Amino acid sequence: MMRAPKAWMDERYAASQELAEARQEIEALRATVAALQQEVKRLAAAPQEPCALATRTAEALDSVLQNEVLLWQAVDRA
Amino acid sequence: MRVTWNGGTLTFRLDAEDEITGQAADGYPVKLRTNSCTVHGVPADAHPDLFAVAAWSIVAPWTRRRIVFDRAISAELAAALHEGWGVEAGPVSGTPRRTGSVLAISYSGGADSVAAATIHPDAPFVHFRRVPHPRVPNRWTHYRSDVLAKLAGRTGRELTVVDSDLEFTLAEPRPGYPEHHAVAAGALLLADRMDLGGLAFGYELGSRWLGGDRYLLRYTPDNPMWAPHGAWGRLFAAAGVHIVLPVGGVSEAVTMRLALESPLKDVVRWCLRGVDGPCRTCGKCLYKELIQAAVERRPLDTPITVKRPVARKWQEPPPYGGQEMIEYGCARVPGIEEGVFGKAAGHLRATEESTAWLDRCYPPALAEIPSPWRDTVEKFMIDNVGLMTPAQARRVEEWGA
Repeated sequence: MMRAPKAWMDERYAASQELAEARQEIEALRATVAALQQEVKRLAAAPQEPCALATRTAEALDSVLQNEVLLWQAVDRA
Repeated sequence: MRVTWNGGTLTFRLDAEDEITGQAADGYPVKLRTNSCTVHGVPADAHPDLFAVAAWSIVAPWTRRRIVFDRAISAELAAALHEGWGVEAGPVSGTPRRTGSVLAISYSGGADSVAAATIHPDAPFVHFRRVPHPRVPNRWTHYRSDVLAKLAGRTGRELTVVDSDLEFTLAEPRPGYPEHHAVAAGALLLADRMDLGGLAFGYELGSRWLGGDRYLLRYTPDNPMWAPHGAWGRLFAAAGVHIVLPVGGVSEAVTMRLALESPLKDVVRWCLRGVDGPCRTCGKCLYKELIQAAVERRPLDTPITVKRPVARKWQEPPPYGGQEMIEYGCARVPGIEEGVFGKAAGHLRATEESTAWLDRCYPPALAEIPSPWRDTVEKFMIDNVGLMTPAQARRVEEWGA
């Protein structure tokens, strides 16, 4: 007498368990996709960072050499 | 300004009135980066006037009132510096350099200098090759001076390659010649050894007479860079190395045709970036492609689209640098209305008739070639190009008016 409801309960339980797990998996996947999207956005913006940094460094280097010329000019004037 | 040569290494110090931002002979503002550079392979016993002119081609933009050299220059050279730039130059003593008998070609490998080389088939080449500066990080590695030097080596001509980092003395607009004449620094210093009496450049009609590139964009008979009676012409002459412009009377359409028909046609290269061939994507490739397509009477063959930054200036209305050649191209290239030059063509409305003068030689350009080489150039132009009619010559003289 008990076999049929037990089987039904087990089946139902397993199904809902699977459903929950599937839902969890989808949630995890959604989070991963969102994180990936963030990463893509960050990467798309990133190339400008090193470029800007390189430009700033280059400008700074240029003025080091120019400053040296100006310093010698000041030394000679003194 | 005080300059010192140590072998081929030039160092210079600014006087109180000199400034980091100066002006080249064409009026363009140029900014100094550093105060030393080297010209390699320089003979130590070159005439002091040659050392002086080579140094002046590098430091002129930043010199305001006086220049002191490390060896005495002739009174004639000091006078040329004073008349041309109003600077006091010294110390003065000794005799000027005797003018030599040989004409060399300042050979870049582009269509214009190949055309000049074709006119003088026996002239030796001097090729300037950019090398890195020990104190300036090279951020311009796309500039393939090694490729250009290799091509110059394949011309079969007597060739001297002069290595130099002098372009790195310039911070802005970018590394380059402080004065256009700095390309000749090596040739000047070799002038005694090569017995030079003249140095030929590929500067053509646009540069010499039409105020082309970054200059005035109008008729300039008294061009300070290239007229024999201009400041630079007189300075070079005082050092016994006359400036010679074999293609000064013809447009870039003619130099292109001459280069493509020349025995050197396989080694012509105007692109500074390409390795196995022209890059086809830089602004210079686009400009030269227009001229080549016009000369070959075929549609434009370029991967460059209207949206590319190098095509941007052709979407704006004129004036353009080298506008005569844009007119020439727009009048001759089939299907020009579609594509990169469509807008420019609409503005310029040039026709074959209105640009026919660009297929001929401007006679006054022949008259100013120094006599030892004038007949050769004149004969070449009459036989291969043809002279402008008086009406066509007026097109030159009314340019930009």
